[in-house]
Amino acid sequence: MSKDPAESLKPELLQEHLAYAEASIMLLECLLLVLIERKLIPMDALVEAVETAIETKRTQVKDGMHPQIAAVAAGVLSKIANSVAATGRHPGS
Amino acid sequence: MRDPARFAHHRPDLESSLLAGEDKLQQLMRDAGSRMDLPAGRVLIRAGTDHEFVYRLISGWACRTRSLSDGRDQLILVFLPGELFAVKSMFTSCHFDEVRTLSDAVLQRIHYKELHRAFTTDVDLTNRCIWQVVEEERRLHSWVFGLGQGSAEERLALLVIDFRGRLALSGVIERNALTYRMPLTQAQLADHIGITAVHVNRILKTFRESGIFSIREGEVVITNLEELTRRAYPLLDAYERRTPEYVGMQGQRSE
Repeated sequence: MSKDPAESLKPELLQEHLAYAEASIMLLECLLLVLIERKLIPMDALVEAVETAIETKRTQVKDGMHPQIAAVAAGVLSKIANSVAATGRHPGS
Repeated sequence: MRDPARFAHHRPDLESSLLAGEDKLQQLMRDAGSRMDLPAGRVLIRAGTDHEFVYRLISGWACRTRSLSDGRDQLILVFLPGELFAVKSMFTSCHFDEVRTLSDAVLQRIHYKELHRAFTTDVDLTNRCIWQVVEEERRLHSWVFGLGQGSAEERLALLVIDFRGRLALSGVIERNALTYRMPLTQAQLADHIGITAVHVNRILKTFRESGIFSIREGEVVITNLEELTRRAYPLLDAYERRTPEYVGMQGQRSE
């Protein structure tokens, strides 16, 4: 079992890492939505890509790679996959 | 609050009993003398616990939520003024989900044994309590349909119309009002309609730029109810589609 990486960080550095992580995921999600709105990549393909990331994270939980963080990361990605999928559940999308 | 119109699709022969039950419930709650003033975010019922009270919201908003350890949350139901909630305290020894206030709120509560005594001896109160469960079920059915089949845009449009209709029918806002206070943050809206806060933000922007509605500092301003209704229409149930408090003059109440 690997040690939780957050434990070894100074609080101010941890905060900065969290801010970057939060900004990154928000930016990524905005880009996914833009790609769908502009019909550059089909929604299904993007959902599949996020689901691959979820599967990878869940495998890391099973493998004991900082499982607490990986489990929450999988939860975050699940939310994004569901949200992205909701862009296309109507006729004409 | 004593308007029969708020009892969606009720059988006409139940109307007088439902209205009498509403009066008796109000009296019973007053007699119980347990008015509570709570701040936003206060947990009323902890998930997975036995809880002995049934509540009625006088003012403010509350919700039922379920959370997973991986950070996923679902805001299951939103309770608005005049509504009775945690009726299940009379029948079950465990509440599976958390109930908490979404805004500063004034509530009344009654011990389940006291309400159950009245429930088993007064048919008007029985009808009124059962009615709340029936109404909650109606909304949950619509919401399940919306989460399963609706787009993010349709879900948000439905939510804005649902809040308007229920607030108008409970007398909190005028029947033709196009603005109302709404305490949910974008993150809470996201947890309710099953998308992320980023996605909520993006849809809100689209609605605002299309001149349909906007939310600013906790106030919903509907600028084009007809178009909002059109967007929400696939998810509206038959009652909502014909009720003016939900959809404006497009609704034709036939009761």
